[in-house]
Amino acid sequence: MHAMSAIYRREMRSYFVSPVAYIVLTVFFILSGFFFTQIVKYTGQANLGGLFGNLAIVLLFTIPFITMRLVAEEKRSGTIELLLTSPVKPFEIIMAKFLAAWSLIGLAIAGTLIYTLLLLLHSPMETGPLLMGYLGIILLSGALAALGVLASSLAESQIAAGIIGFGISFILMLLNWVGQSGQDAIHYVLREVSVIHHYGDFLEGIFDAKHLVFFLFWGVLCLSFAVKSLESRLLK
Amino acid sequence: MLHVENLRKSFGPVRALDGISFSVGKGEIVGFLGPNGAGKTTAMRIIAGFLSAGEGRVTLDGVDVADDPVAVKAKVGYLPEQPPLYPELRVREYLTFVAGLKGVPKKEVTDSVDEAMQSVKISDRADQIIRSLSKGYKQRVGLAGALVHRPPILILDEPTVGLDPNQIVEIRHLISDLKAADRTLIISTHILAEVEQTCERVIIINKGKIAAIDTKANLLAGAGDKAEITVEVAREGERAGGLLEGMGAAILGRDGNRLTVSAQPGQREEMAKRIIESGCGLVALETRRVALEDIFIKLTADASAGVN
Repeated sequence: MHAMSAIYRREMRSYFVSPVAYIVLTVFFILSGFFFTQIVKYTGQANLGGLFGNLAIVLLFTIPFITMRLVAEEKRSGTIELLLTSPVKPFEIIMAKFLAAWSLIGLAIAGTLIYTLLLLLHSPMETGPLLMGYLGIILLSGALAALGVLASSLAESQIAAGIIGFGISFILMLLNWVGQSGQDAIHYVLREVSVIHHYGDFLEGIFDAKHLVFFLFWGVLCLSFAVKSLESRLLK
Repeated sequence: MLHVENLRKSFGPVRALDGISFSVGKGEIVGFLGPNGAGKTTAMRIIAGFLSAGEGRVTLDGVDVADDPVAVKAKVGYLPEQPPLYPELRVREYLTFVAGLKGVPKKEVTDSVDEAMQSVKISDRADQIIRSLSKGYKQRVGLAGALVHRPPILILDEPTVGLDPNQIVEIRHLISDLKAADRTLIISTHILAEVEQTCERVIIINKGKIAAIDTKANLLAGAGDKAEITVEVAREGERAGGLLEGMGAAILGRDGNRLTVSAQPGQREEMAKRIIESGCGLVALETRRVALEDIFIKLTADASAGVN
């Protein structure tokens, strides 16, 4: 745990000593602010469902940018040799890095609480859908961060990691669109494997345990493969 | 303390290590010497737990690195050829991070970091960002990182590579200081002077195999049965050459009255006596010291491409 916390703290520090955290947070706040004002202006409703729907697309673009460096840069600079010759398990390295990326995204999402507060000050809101919306976006960001960590552990450069992470996320979104265009078994499967599809019910304020299980399964699967990829370096 | 048994490792069709075995005792300082591509880095990486062995095993204090890598890694301080640094961190931040990574208890981190900085003389650079340090200082920070958890065994892979002559001398002094700390040290290098100045025992590796393994003194003594002796006479160089040949010395070269011969060092007194008696006039008689370099060249003479 001590080593995991050391890696986590270093990752968080690296985000904030480089422009990465500032760029991500700025872009996220500008876009979420834009979506918020537009949605409130045109729907006239105190509902953040529309905002969370659009933020999913923003996350799709920003998360690969946050995660691409995590493992790929350690391999490029040679610091992976320090990590893998330390008394730390590959699982702990991957988890610490994943949690750091997820925390940074969590910080960005936490910024949207300002909009919630603004709405609450001016009109009554149902807390159920609001909480579901936040739970959904936190789970979605976790799943995309886990995918990003996997991409970074597979790639040798951060650019390649970013492209792989974004490419797979984008394909998962496309699968949902294609899946929605029909009702047969193939379309059903396409919908079910897409992370975006499982996010949909949260936006409607519906809690279904199968979505929760899906996100957990997705996260565990990606992180397990990332751990395997790191372990395979030791066996090379 | 450290036992390496029949270590083999291949990278595709290339065999980097071909059955090397050796042991290193507590407090020993061993030089791991070999030409570039001999397999030194591969061996160091396997011992440090960064690579798995294809065959064979590495045990430290009876624990197999393959069975319990975490326990073995906690006892090893490893400095790779390129010091693994995070350039955006300050020296103290980096060492605090490494201490956490190596499992130094929270309460002891500050003391361990201070001690590591003192032992490599970088305390005055504690708050400097690593990116802005010179290469020599970066190497010291890497060395401090390898020392921060007070490991009983320290493995340094080519610790002076890429440094300027002054920095090389500084790093060698630091390594000499580490000797006093009763710590086992394995230094991998292709630079002979490094081994000659810092190590007690030498393992010469070539093409993934051990070519020689002995104390420095024994290696030098073993190669010393024939030495290269230069004899300069005042006149009649050719006749002096004949005299020396008559004693069993082999003439390696003659430049006028200056002769280079190969003979046993014990014959030098007799050689001097005969030349003086012959009237050729002995001007000089020099023995070139047999250096580790000669042994190294002899053992690795046909070194060709391999894997580092």
